[in-house]
Amino acid sequence: MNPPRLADLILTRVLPLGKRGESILGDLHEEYRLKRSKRWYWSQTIRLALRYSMAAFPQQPLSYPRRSGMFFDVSSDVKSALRAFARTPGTSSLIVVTLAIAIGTATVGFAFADLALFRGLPVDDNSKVVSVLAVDTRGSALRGRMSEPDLLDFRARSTTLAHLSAMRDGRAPLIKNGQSHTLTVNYATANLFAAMGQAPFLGRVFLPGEDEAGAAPVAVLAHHYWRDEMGSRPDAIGHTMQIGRDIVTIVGVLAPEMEFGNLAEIDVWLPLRLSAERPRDARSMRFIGRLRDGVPFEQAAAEIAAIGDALANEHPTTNGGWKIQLVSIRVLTGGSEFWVVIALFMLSVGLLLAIATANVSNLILVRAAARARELAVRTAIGARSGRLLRQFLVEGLVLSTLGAVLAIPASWAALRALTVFSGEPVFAQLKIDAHELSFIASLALICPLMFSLSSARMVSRPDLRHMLASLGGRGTTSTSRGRTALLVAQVALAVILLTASSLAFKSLRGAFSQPLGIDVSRLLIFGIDLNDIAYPDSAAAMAAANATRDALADVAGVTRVSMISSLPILGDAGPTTFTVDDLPVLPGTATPFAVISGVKADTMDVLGVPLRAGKWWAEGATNVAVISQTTAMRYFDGVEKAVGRHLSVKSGDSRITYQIVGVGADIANTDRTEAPPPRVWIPLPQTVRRMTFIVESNDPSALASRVRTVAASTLPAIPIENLQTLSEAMRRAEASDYVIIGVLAAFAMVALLLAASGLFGVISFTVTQRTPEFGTRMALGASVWDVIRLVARQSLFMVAIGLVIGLAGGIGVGFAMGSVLYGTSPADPATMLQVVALLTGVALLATALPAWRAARIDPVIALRD
Amino acid sequence: MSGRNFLGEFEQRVLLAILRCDAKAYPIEIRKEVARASGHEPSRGAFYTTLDRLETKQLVRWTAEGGDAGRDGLPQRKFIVTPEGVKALKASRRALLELWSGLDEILGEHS
Repeated sequence: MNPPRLADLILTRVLPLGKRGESILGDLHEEYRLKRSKRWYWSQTIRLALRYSMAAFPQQPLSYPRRSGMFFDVSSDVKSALRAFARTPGTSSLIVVTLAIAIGTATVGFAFADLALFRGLPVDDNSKVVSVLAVDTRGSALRGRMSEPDLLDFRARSTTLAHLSAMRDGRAPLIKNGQSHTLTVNYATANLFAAMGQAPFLGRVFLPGEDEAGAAPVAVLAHHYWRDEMGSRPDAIGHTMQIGRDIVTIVGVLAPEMEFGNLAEIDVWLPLRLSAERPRDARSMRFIGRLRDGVPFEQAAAEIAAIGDALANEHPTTNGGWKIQLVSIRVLTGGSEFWVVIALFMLSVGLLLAIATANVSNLILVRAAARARELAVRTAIGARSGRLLRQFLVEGLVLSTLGAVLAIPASWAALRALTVFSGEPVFAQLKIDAHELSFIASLALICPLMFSLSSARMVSRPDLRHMLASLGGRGTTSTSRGRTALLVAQVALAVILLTASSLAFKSLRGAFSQPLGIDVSRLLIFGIDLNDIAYPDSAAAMAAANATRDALADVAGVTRVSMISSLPILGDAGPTTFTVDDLPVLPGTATPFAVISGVKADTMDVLGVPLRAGKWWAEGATNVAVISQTTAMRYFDGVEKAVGRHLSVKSGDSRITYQIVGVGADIANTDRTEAPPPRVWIPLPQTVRRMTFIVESNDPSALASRVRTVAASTLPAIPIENLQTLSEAMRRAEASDYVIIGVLAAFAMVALLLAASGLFGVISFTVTQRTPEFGTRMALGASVWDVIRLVARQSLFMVAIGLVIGLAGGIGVGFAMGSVLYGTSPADPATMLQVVALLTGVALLATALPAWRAARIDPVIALRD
Repeated sequence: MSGRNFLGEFEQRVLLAILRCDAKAYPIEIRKEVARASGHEPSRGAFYTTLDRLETKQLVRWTAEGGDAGRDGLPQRKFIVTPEGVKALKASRRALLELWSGLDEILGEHS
């Protein structure tokens, strides 16, 4: 067993030369043979290395020769870097701040990407965990979920997938002290956690068989629920809670990693009791499975598609026209647009860092020029260029480390601000931890390599002394050319970022400025769930809802009160298929589908949805429906021809047929960048237990507490959910999209700021250098305006080149963003014009001060100096 | 020279340990001897730099001997205390005894 070679290598670098050092190494080897511990050897190595490197500055001169090791020189380089900082505090602080801003902003961008790419998915192996989606080939845009009988068939037939599992989200009433609280739950088959490769944080997950009928009810808690509601008590396992009618036993707590995306909202996981009796076209579940060892994705995909086709043949009425697809777990969590956004973020982060690095390069050049005398002296007394190069690198490293240290609290604060602003649970998962810290650390290491290169070039040039001799005069053409190139690059990068974020902002604003189809201004909303514990009888539940409506209508200030089964845009249910006039669907055409909501006769009037034809039904009418304009155009040959016709919807084993009495205007889609969905409004069924109340008033926000009091007295046993004004709810729903764009826009603004400060720095520097020249010109009769023009020309020339390159790049990025752009072209002329105007304005500002300074030069003083 | 030649406590221990090891005064043995007498192991870094310092003060000298296979052929040093080293130890001892004398009652080592 030999000592670690790397340790020996370090020791030979730090220990004294010759027999002295070799004998110490020999002693260590001898003792190592007895101890036989690599750890011991390493700890001795480190301690000796520290000891001997501290002895690099001995109080007494050493009498023996010593290797001039990297180790000693670097520590003196650090000292000299700190001295350099102290000597040029202004420029150095500017460098540190620039780096802090850039690294901080980049870290925010990285935190998003990290959420999606690295910590993201709550599965142990991205490549193995898959999902199974159903796609309606007749183009009804229905996509995704599957039914219970399908799951059982796929389980029985698939040989390539293990742990094929299903989950379905929902809500359930938690009964505590006679009061109901609404839990967000997820029903999952027992093998879901095995499919995802997730081990419990505490206790256990579901056992096989616990998802079968008759099994004792159990629950697994989400980590946040256990932490917030149970105070992280380890003895929560074994406790019971009443969920609906069941007394369930808590058997485990999931790991916090499970709380990803929508899964983060789940409070409690309950077993999904599968039943082969349920209809095959009740597609409400997501399937998660796992490739068996050694099975390639393609093979499993082919098998799943084949089983899907076989099922379509066996059950043509329910499965005909549906194709079954195997997809990677990533597709389920993100979707392609999500990845475009992430790619855009990463691109922005890269561009931003490039700008900052270019900027810092410039500042370092300026600083190096200011320190030219020191460098000249060191070269003169024999410093090799490699030695100076290393000093530049170490100085760069010191600066970037300072910047990185500042960036940590800055990016943390920015992420907190985002969380507070959007309130979207996904953003609460953005955080600074080991991932982000290592990202910051690697930036701190990489950046100096980039920006020290320019200084290094200057140092390694053989005519260094010439350049230094000309100090105080003009910089050589080649350095100013280098600076110009850097600046042009900066402007170009800033333009690319500005263009991308303006396009994104414009498309989002475009989407949000589309008419909603409802009037959100005067409404207060809240949700209730009349669960069957508090109201075992559904007629009693509806009576309680009606009583609440009447009581609310009596409140002073309330003009109208109505109910809806699910609020459009914010709470839309998934689309449901229906039949037109009881006609069979022609082969090759899509099954009609629509978002169906149960409403009161006056609900749509309260929401401000105008009628296009016909009328709303009178209260108490049954088997009548009003459809939206899109539904009428798509399935009933136009608005006029729809009234009087019929549509029927499957309900359990029977069909309910509705007569169309009116056509209403369209209401926007939940995803506002998509066209309004077809909608059908039917009388609120007596069996509906979950509904949203809509309270109309001239001052809805002032009514909130009064409404809460009234509802609490008429509905004593159930909670009031999400009481808020509709406009506030809409604003919140939009906020998360605006956060994404806001972050992009912030990237662009930081880029612009950095480019402007770079421009300012370079122009100021040239003005200082050209002071004697300007003095001469003015002495010979040049006017103030001539001088200003000279300075501005130089600046605007660089900006113009940068703009042209940047716009070309921006259009390129725009086309790459094509799929997420809504209602705007990638080469949108208005956007381009705005970007050009903004950048020119900023460039003029950055030029104005130095130009003004140049114009105020006193020729006499300038010439004398 | 005289003012600077006072010995630190650790330096004294190392010098004394070299004398005690006599013919076997190799660093490993010296360190063991220091550890045995004082009850705790000095760190190698401190130990080797102290040897270097004593050498700089010309209180010790060393000769290199060839190493065996257990040391991978690396040399080992054998230390001897120079006459100056012995003189310095004597001076320290005198100074300390002078200070110790008459304090037996307070320090109570004899009881």
